[in-house]
Amino acid sequence: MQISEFYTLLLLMLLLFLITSLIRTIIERKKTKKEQYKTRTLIKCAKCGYTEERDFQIGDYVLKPEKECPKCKTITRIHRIYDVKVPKK
Amino acid sequence: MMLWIRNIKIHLVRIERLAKDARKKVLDMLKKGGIKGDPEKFLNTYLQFFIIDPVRDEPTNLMRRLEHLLNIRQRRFKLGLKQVLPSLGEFTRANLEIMIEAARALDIIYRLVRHYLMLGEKTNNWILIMQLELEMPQIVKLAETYHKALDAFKEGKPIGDGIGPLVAATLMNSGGSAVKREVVEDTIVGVVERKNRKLYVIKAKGPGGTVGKPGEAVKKVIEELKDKVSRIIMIDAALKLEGEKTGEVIEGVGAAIGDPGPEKFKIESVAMEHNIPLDSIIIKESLEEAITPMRKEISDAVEKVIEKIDKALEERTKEGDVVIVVGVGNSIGIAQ
Repeated sequence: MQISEFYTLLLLMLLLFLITSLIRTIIERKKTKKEQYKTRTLIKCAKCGYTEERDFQIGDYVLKPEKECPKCKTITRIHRIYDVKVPKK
Repeated sequence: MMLWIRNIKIHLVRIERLAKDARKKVLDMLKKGGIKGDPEKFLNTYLQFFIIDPVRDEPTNLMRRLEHLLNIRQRRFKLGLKQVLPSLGEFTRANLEIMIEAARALDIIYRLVRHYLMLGEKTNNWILIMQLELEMPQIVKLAETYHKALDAFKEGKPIGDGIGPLVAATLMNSGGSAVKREVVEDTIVGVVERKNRKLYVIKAKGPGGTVGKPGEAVKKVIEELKDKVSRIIMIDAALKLEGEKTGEVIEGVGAAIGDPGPEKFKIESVAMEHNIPLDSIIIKESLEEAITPMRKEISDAVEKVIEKIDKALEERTKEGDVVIVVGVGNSIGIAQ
């Protein structure tokens, strides 16, 4: 093998390494960007333990009185408000 | 150096965009709330509002001097907002106050990065430019975190830092509603029976965005009860290290509170003065998770914390004892 061929091979390998690392960086950046969250509100009846989950609405806060419990007819309250990861499509 | 400067400038444009957007969001809220006078002028006053640190070379009364300055600042903010937005509800006003704080943080980040970049260029200081370039990814991440937090504050969603108040609110409302009162400004104490012990549960007043004065509240409750308190249990969110699990609950001793100093100092002093053991339970989360809407993993930690409190009550106190439980953190989106 001549010296010039050796350098060409070395350059080609370096180029290949650079391209693969670039592709890996782009893929990883896309992966992190796709992570999205959605805020959910969990309503609970303190008497019978009935729970219901819905999307967060502006004005919601923990312990806010909500509608009547469909099971025991007592007033339910917002139990928790939290962010859940939106599954990737 | 040219490449570093170019890269910093690209990041600076992004930070500037975030700071401008934060400013726009606060201005929109001010206009929506029916602000009296010029909203731009009002916001400019508070965006660059400063506090001069007390002299630290002379430590006498340092904490009291710092507390005094912090109180003045807080009152100025509150009064300023009340004067221009008298018709706005108390809780919305509190949320607006922390929105201004977040916009202020973004403004400071932008101005500081711009300052060091221009200084480095002007003096041809490549060490300064190199340091800034190496720190840029972390600075941009911090700016993005504050920007994300703005939306949570705007909509009044509970944030990760609110885990302490959430535990306190759950305790106050477990097994019947507790007797509650505002013990000091923006801080609520609720008395509740649990495991045949009397618990004085303290949290910031919600659902508006405030951290209250937990130190002052603990001091007042102990003074009212005159040496009857047998234990203090503090619950707070704590910054996790990279690689650690979000929502992990761990125990320790000491005052679990991340204030500038006065509140922590008060709790330590009063606990030492009355010889009351000070336990703490922390919930691990990152800075981003602490100031953005509460993740489910953090919210799920409430039950684990209550289990640990029950265990502490059974193992380290006797029946009939009086225990103070403090839920430290921002109570945005969490009532009592």
